[in-house]
Amino acid sequence: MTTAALTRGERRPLSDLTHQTTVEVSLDSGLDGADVSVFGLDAERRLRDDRYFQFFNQPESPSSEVTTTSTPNCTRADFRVDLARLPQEVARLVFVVTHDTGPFGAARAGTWVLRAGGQELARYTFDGRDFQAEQAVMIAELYRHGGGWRLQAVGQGFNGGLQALLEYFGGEASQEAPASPAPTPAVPPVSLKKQAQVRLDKRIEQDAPQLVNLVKAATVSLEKRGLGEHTARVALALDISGSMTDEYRSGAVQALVERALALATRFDDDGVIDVFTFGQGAYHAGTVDIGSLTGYVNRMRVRFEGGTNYGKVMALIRRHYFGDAPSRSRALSQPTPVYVMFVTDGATQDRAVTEQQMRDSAFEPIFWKLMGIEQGGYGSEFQFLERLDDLKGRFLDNADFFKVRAPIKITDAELYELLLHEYDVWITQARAKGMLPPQG
Amino acid sequence: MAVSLVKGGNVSLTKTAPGLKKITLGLGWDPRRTDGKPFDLDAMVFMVNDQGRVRSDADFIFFNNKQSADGSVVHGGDNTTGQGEGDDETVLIDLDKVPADVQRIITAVVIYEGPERGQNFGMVDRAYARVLNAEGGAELVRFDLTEDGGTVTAMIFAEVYRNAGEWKFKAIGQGYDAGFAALVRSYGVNA
Repeated sequence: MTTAALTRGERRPLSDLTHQTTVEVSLDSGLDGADVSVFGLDAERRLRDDRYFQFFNQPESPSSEVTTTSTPNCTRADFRVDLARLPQEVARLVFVVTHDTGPFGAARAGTWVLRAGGQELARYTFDGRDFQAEQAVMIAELYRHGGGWRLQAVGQGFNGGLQALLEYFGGEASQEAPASPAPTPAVPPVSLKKQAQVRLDKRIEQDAPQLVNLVKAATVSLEKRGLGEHTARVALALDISGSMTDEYRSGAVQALVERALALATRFDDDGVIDVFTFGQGAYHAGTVDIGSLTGYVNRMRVRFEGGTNYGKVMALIRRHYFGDAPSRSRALSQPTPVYVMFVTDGATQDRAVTEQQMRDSAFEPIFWKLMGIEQGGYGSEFQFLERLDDLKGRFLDNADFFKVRAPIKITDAELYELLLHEYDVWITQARAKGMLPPQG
Repeated sequence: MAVSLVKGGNVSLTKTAPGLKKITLGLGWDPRRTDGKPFDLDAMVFMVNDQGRVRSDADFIFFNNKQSADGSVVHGGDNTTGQGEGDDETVLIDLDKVPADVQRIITAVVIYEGPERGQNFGMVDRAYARVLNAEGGAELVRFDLTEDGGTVTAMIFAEVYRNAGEWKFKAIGQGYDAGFAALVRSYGVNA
C-alpha cells in the first residue's frame, strides 16, 4: 500500500489504511524548540481527563494506551497509541505543537507521519506558509466516527500558544469552569508553568538583565534533576550579625540575592522571594522581585546585631508559611514546598532551639539549604551546621549544608549545583510521605 | 418540524408549505475559533435555464451583484467572519417573481482566496443550508454538510428548482475541485 499524502483539512477513514489498532505517529514540528504533545478529548472536544494529555511532563496515559517520547523543547517526538484499549470517553486524539516564543509562521517543513507495524500509512506535510503568528497548532487528529477511527490533517492553531489551546479544549487551565462537574479523577491541573516563565523571562530581560545568564545556569541544574517544571516558594534567610558587615559592603550579599532570585524565577510563578534576616532577633524584611532587585541590599539598610539565633528565624519562617511553628509528630500536607536558602557566617547561640525547629519542621514541606560563608579564622564555627545537616531523629532529612569561602568566587553553575544538592531527593521523599502532591 | 435531508435528497417546498411565496435560503457554518489567516466564505446564486446556463451574467448573484435584474433574488450581503446570530449568509427568493425560463436556482459557497491561503472546506465545521418561509420564518427543510467537507474551495450547497409546477429543494453538498472561477464559468458566466 502506498502512503496517503494528506492535504490540510483532509479526512480519511483509518480502515482505508490499516486494520491494526496500534498505530505510531512521528511528529516533527518544523520549529526548533517546539513542544510536541497529544490531547485525548471527549466527543465535545473537551479535555475531561488531564491524564490523557501526553506531553513532556506526562509521557504515558493511565494504562499506557498513549505514550510519547516527548521532552521539553524537543522539536519532534514519537507517539504510540493503542486505539482498541482507549476508554470510550476518549473520542479524539489531537496532535499539537506549541512554542513558547516562536510563531509557526517561521517554521520550516514539518511532518505528521502515521505508521502501523513500522509501515507508513499517511503523511501530512506543513510549513510556515500555512501559518502566521500561531504559537500552538493542532496538526492532525485521530477521532472516533461511526464505530471506527478517522484521521484528519488539521493545521490550525492559536496565537496564544498552549494556554489558548487549553482554553479551547476546556482544560483545567481555563478561566471558565466547565458547565457541569465531570467525574474527573483527582489529578493535578495541567502545568502551565512554562508559560508563566515565558512572561517572567520577558520581565527579566527588561528589568534585571543581569539575571539572564544566572537563570540559564539555574535552569540547567534544575533540569538535570528533573525539576525543570518544579514549583516552590523561595525564602532567603540572611545573617545580619556584625561579622557579616564586610559581605554586605562588598556586594557579596547582593550577588547572593541575585543568584537566589534567578533560582526563584524558575521555582516561583511570580518570581518573588521572601527575605528574612536574623541576628540576635529575627525579622521579616519583606520581598524582593525582578523589579526591586537592583540595589536591593543597599536599600535594606541593615542594622547589624551582636548575636546569632538560628532557631528564632526558623520559627518565624515556619509561622510565615504554615501559620504556626508548633511541635509536630505528624506530617503536614501542602500543595507547594518551601525552599529556604539560609546564609550565615558563624554559629548560633540557640543550638537546642534550632535542633528542635529542625526536627519539628521535618514534618512540614520545607527544605533548609544551609550555606556557610567561611571567613578567615571562623572555619571551625560550621561544626554545628554540619551536625544539623546530619541531625538524627528527624522524620525526613530536610536540610543540606555547604560552605563557600569569602570572598565568594564560585561560578554560577557550581553554586546552583550546591543549592540543589539533596533537594530533589527530599522532594521525592516528601511526596512519598504525602506532604506534597504526587508529581503532576 | 423541518425536513432534514441527506446529500442527494429532495423535498417539495410547495407541498411542505402550501401557498409558499417567498423563501429565505440560509447558509451557515461554525465560526472559526482558531487564529491564523482569516477565512472568508462567500455565498452565491446562479439562476439557470433548462440547459443549466445563466441567461446572462446578471443571473449570477454574488458579492459584487447583490440582486437579480427582476428583483426575484436578493443576496443578504457578505459576512466575512461567520460570526453573528443565525445564518451566516442569506438569500431572499421571491418565487412568484422568478422568471419562467429560470429552471433552477443553485446556491454555492466559495472560500475566497482559499487556494492562496491554503484553506478548504475540510477546515470548516458544521456547514449547512436551509430554507425558511420568508413569511413567518418557519424552517422548512435543512441539510447539514457534516463530514462532507473535503479539500475543495468551492461547494455547491443546494438548489431550488421547478418540477411539474412545484418548487423543490435538493441537498447537493458537492465539492467543486477546480475552484471559484471554474465553477462560475461552468454555469456560462463570463468571468
